[in-house]
Parts: sequence; C-alpha cells; structure tokens
Amino acid sequence: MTGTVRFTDADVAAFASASGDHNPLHVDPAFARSTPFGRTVVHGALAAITVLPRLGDVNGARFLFREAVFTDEPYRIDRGEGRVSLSGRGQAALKATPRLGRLRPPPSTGPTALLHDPTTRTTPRMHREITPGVVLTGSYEPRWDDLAAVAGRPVGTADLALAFAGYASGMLLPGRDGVLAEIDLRVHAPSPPRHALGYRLHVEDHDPRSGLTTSSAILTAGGSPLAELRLCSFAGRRAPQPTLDRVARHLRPGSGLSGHTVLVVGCSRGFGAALTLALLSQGATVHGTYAASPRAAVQLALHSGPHSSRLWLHQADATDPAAMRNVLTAAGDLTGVVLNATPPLHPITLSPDAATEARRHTDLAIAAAMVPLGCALPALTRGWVAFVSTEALAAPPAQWPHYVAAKAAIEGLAAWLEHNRPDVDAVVLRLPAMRTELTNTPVGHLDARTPEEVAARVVRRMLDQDWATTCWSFPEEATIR
Amino acid sequence: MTARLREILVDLLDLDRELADTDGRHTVEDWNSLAHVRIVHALETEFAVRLPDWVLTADRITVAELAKLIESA
Repeated sequence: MTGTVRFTDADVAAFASASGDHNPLHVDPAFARSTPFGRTVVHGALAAITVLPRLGDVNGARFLFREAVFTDEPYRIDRGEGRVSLSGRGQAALKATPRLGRLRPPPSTGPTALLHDPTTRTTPRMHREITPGVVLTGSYEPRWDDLAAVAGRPVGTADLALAFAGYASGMLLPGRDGVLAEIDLRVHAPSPPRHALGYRLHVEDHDPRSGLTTSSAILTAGGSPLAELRLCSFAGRRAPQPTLDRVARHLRPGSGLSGHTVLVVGCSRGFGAALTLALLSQGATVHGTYAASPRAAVQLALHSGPHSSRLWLHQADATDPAAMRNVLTAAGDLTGVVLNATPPLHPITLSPDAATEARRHTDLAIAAAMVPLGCALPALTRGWVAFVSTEALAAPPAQWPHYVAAKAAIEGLAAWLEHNRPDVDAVVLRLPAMRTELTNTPVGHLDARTPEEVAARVVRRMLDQDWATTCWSFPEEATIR
Repeated sequence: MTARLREILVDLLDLDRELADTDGRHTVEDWNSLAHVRIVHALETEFAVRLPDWVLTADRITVAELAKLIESA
C-alpha cells in the first residue's frame, strides 16, 4: 500500500496553530536558516499524524524520526513488513510501527518543577535545566477543530497525543532547540474529551554530550490516563557568533594587511564571519556578502567594533550574476577573494531518488563559487583567490556524497584558475569540522574547532606570504596537490 | 553481551534482519548519525559503561568493534 504526500507551508502553519507547537524551527524561516536544516522543517508530529491511519486501528505505535521532512517536496508513504514509512530524497524520514503492551514506567522519584509558561518563554531551555528526575506538570488543549482539519478526521486520542508530543518537545522540553527523534505512544481511551487535559512530563535521561533527552509523559482527563508517551529528542546547542575577542586569542591584532581589500563571499556566519573579523583585525578592508542572514550580518557589523569603517556588507546572492556585479562595482580593485558561500547541507543517501537533491546542491555550490569568481577576476590582477573546501574530501561521510562532489568541483575551479590565470594565486583551503550553525548537529561540536581558530591560521598564513600557489589542509598545512 | 547488543541495534534501527559482526554504519542505511548517537547512549546505559567520545562521531564502526569497545570499557 503506497501513497504520496507533499506538505505545504500552510499545512505547517495550520499544525502550529492547532497543536500550539510554534517552535521557530517550523515557523520562522530566518531562525531555521541559522540551523543545520537551512530552512523550516515540517513538524515530526504532523508527519506522524499523516501516516497514522496507515497503521490501522492500533492502540500503540512507535514513530522513529530519521531525517527532517521539508515542505514542497514529494514524500512516499509505504506500508509493508508491519510498518509504515515516509520516504523522500531516497531515504526513510519516518518509520511507524504498531506496538503492544504498556510502556516501561518511568522512575518515580525526583523533584517536581513548576511549568514555565511557554507563551512567555523567550529564551531556550538550558541544558542544565534538563535534569533527570525533573517533572513538569500543566494542562494542554489543542485547537480541536483545527487539529481535526489538519488530520482530516475527528481527533482521536492518538492524534491528540502526537500533537502534544510535538508541543512538549518543541515548546517545553527541550524547547526551542529540540528535535524529535522518537515517539512511543500508548492509547488508553480512543476518544478524548474536548476540554483541557492534564499532563505530567518526566525527564528520564539526558546526555549532555549529544543533548539526547528521554522523557515520559502521561495525558490525563479527569484524573484518568488517556495516553502515555515516551519522547526522545535532541536538545541542540547554539553555535556562538564569532567575535573579535575570540579571534584575538589566536591572532594578535596588527596592521600587516593595511591597504589590502578582500571580498569574502559568504561572510555573515561561521568561518566566513570569523575570517572577516580576522582580516579586519590585521588592517584589511573587507567587502562581505551574505544572502539570507541579515540578523547574522548585523551581529557581524556589531562585532567588528573599531574596524567597522573598513567593513562593507552587501546582501547579495552569490549565485546571482547581477547582484555580484553590483558588489564588485562597489568594492573596486581587490587584493583577494574568499569563496566561502555554500548552500545548506541536507544529508542524503546515495540513490537514484536522491539525485535531484544532489544536483540542486552541487548546482548551487558551484554557482556560488563560479559567479563571484567570474565577476571578480577582472579586478584581480596579481591578486589571490581562496577556495574554501573541506577535509571531508579525504574521508567523505556516508550521507554527504553531494557535499564532497560539490567541494571537489570547487577544487577543480581552483585548478582551472591556477592553469589559466597564472597571474592570480589560487589557494584551496581544506578546512576541518568547525562549530558553526550549519554543522550544529547533536555531535557536531565534538572534535570540532572554533571558526576563529581556523580563520586565524588562514590569515597568519596570508601574513607570512607563504601560501600563494600552495594548497593546505588544517592543521597540517600540507600541500595537497 | 553480544546478543543483547544486537537486540538493541535491531530495535533502534527498526530492522527486520539480524546483524552480522561486519555490519555497521557503512552497511545499514538507517544507521545514520542521529541513530548512531542513540545507539551509543543505549549501549552505555545497558552495559553501564562510558564509551570514548570519538565513538559518537565514528562513521565506519561495526557491530564487532562496538562489542569489543564495550568489553574493554
């Protein structure tokens, strides 16, 4: 039994209103762009409610959320082998399996904490607040008619419990930076009363390394249990925006680049922002472009402090020739160009079904290097171009075939430049994993360097004037071809 | 221990088949980075051990290697 579904932004907005899960990852495009997902994500609970009828008449089910689900993309629903799956981009995003029996009861001891009203909560819950044994209690009521409209049927207890699971994970625990990994659900009464329900949410376990948080919940009506859930979520961390102070820990301020003008394509976040600050700290004038992160650009401008008069920020899509020509006109003669813009990275499984996403990613990545390069070359006599690549090329992660393909293509552009424009130095920077917003996955911070540290190393190499025509890997600074 | 380890893997990966010693992230499609984090945490809890941090980010680890790590932890 198969079917297809394509979620829309309207579906997501309707579910947010119906369930109360207004987590910005789902409804705020600007916030979502600052996450590894790069765009708003469909509520996992909405995906679960969508596949729920395919399970048949069950009183228990487990939903495993494998990958993010996005709007305006086709997803296939398959039923077989006793489970239902929702698949897109060549991989299962959600698997649902009927479950029997009771959930394992949670530990009964632990302190009780008062519920923070999520409507007044403006800051993300800190990891230290997510303590095993903490219990949150309160009441929950969806917009019943809206939830029925989203589900396409009268609201059953399973629908209600799934909506609550999304609300609990996205608004309560872990809250703003939470991402659902699993819902295990047992229904005790098939039809819920249409009034506010009580809930008790118990933190069973929390691993501070990954943010993995396991909670159990019970929904009650008039004191009687309506449904039990076990929720597994990842509590994300926010990657700090680079600052001059942190750059200065690795690179003493100086004037070695006074008179140099550098264009940093993709400057507002992560390595691009750190490199911009490092260049400024050495006296360079920097023209930086950003496409869709005005908040981050404002932060960068603020963080540039005493160097702000030498920082020129341009909102320009690196893949847009007209926009990039305008930037180059404003920038004038350049000493160097850093090609750092890259599209958000969504994991894929290498398969025919994933080819569309892979092609989209590589198209954008190549264009984001080739368009600025083509615009800048006339202004670059005897200058240099740095192509930002990745150490992942040496050991490509399983779900990044499109990413390494795109970076390899960008290194190919460097080879082209080296051969065809010997007056311009081409430098390939194979950078290590860094703690940035785009790599802010549950374990992305482990074994990752700060972008300030890496940017400082790059600029120090520039100051030493020993990087022209060589390509290097961090930290070995080895020639790679 | 190995039997229990396999049970945990099959459960968290929602598999219909048994896993061989040589199976790992490179042979099981659903064994992605998030599933791997959950597996490591579940194994640590079940066997009351703490695995090295690098295991959390290891992208080519096998069932046999996990068993060995647990035994030596």
